[in-house]
Amino acid sequence: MQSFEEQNYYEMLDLTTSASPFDIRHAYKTALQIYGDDAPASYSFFSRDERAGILANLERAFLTLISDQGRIEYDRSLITAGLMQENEQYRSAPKKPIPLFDLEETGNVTRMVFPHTEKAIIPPAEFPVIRDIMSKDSLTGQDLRCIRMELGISLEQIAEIIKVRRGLLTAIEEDRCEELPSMLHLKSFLKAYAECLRLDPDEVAARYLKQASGESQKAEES
Amino acid sequence: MNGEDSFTNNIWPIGGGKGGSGKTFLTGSLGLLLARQGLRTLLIDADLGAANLHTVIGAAHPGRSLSDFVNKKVESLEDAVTKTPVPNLYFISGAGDNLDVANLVHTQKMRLLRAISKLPYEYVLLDLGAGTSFNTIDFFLISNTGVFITTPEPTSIENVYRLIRSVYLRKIRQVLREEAFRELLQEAVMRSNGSSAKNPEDLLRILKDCDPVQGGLLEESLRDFRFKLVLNQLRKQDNHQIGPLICRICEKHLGLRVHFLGNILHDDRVHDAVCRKVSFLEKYPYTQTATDLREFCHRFLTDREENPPVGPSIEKTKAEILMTANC
Repeated sequence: MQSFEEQNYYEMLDLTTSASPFDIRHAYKTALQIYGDDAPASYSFFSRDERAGILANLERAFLTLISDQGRIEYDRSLITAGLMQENEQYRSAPKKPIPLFDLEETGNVTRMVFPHTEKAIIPPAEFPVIRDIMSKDSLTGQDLRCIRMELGISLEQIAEIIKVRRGLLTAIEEDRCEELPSMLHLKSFLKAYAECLRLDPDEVAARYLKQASGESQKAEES
Repeated sequence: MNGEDSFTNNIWPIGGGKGGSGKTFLTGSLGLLLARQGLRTLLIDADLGAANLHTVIGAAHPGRSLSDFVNKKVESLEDAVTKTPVPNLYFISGAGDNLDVANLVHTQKMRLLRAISKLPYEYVLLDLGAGTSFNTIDFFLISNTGVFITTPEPTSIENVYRLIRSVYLRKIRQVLREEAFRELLQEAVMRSNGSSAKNPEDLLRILKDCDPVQGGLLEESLRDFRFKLVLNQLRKQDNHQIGPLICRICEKHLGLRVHFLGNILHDDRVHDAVCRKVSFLEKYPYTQTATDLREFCHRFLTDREENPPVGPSIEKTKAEILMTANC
């Protein structure tokens, strides 16, 4: 147990070194409830001089920690004395909005910056693979997936931009059109998807639907 | 303590420094609640010379008493135990003591303490007297446990601090050898320019300066204490946070772990029940005070094993904000 005077300012106020200004204010208020001149909790525990010393220390601690500059300097002195680690310092971070979609699902935590990536700026037609696929007159889900992979865009990124569930996009890519609510939905999803890949939306939708209807006819015949 | 520790954990001295803070009432109530849960509980009226626990638990004329053991009228302490109307609740009375029982000589006291630590009960509650005489404090040192009682009044808080510090000082004395203790006192007097050292925590600090090994050992043994604090007779207008704050001061400035077990609301019906010589918990089971007592008993039982730090915790302060916001 250290005596009160030997403690550092954080210990005096019962704070961690990463405490926010809000915590500091609150801790100081609590400390005054304990050590204040009329505080019943510490009645008779300290002599008058001890109490005055403690209050002076607390005030110094509070005033140092609550001022930004003072705190930085004090932290630096603690770090040089080896009493505190560099990474334990308080950093005021403005709050960020919570992401709408859970990117953790695939472990892909990089934030969406599409379509400003290097690769996407190049027109898709420049890629030989994509050119080959687009020269066919019908498109399967597998083709769409190939194009997307070639461009290096994840399904989650598309899902976040066009606000369509990943499951539905997977269904499109795997030609399971019956899982989509209606043909109208399918068409609009396809257009949005194509736009994301910088392909001609009408063209892609038409070719995909042609292929899909061919599939379903075949299924009916058999 | 040598090999007799198997029962010592269950001995709970209950003291509070100031008279009238509710030590006897709380001992009686806690004993009743523990017994109701099926725990074999023994109450000992250790308020030597001013015993009155028998009145609170409604056993006005117990046949035997503690002084029978002290004066060797009965062979073992077990023979001085009286049954109470409550199943599982047993009692060693101090009623009908000799008038000089308060001045126990050292050998008698040691014999009594040894006998108490061997009693085969699940819980042994010791109702201690007011004041900070050696007789009271030595009961705290049989087991490393204890319940302190205070009311929110400054007089009572003052006395409870005094009691805690006295126990602290007595422990230092117990751990150090006689001459080492005298040297320590001399050193303290020298350092503070002639005025004698007032606080035991200063003594510990000086000891750590002079002899770090011994000081460390002593600090360890002080950390072994598992004290509890109850705030009794709290009026509605009082500050409900006083108890936790007292615990924090003890933790921070004395290095003693004191756990807060809750507030117990003041109720005039307690006075009523004591006057009628009936158990408050049985007569008024649906009052806030009775609920507080049951809650206190529950925490007393569950809080026993683990030791979360009383001191700094942001969660706690946030909880405090919420509490004050809700009030």
